[in-house]
Amino acid sequence: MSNPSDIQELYRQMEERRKIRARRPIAEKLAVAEELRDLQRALAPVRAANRAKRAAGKVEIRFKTK
Amino acid sequence: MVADGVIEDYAVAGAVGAMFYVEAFATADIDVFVLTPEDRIIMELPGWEYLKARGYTKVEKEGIVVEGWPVQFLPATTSLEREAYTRAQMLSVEEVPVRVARPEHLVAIMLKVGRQKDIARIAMFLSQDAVELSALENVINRYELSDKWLDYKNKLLI
Repeated sequence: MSNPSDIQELYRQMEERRKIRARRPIAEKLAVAEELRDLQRALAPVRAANRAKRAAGKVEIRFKTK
Repeated sequence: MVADGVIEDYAVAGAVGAMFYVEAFATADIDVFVLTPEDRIIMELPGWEYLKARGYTKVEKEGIVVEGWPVQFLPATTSLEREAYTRAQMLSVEEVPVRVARPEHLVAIMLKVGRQKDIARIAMFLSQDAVELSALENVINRYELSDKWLDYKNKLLI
């Protein structure tokens, strides 16, 4: 099991990386957003099919407790 | 569109507006505030005829698709939106000037709207040092959002 201070350090580093990414040029960020948008569009039919399956009770979600 | 007098001016807001200040995230469209006369209740889609004449005829997610992005022209109707529009700042995308709402206005609007995704985006602004707190709290106090702000801070243990 990881040491809590390691986890805190990990999160601190992740936050620092996010701050750096936030300062990237907007053109780069928009290019990333475009890729994410296209991925969402490509996944839309799959997500809709999964939603329909869940609504029809065709998907069983099992929770593993141990 | 501004140069041709179709719209008086504009301010990029919403998710793409936010991306000028925080890291990139997924979004489906571009929200642009425009100003329309206050006494007009029903109006045409701003810019629709202009863009249609230039070959942009596809409509998706209530927006006109421009270069692959549905663009929604949203009339700035509330006083907060009007201030966001009026006080927007000029930034640039690859040396093209773009008028973008200020971070404190974007966050205040998110706080007011309060959907899950808005709450998540406020956290991005705060954790990425993308908004000046004093400027934000000034807007929050002037637009009577203090209770919502306090509630948000309590939930997030800020």
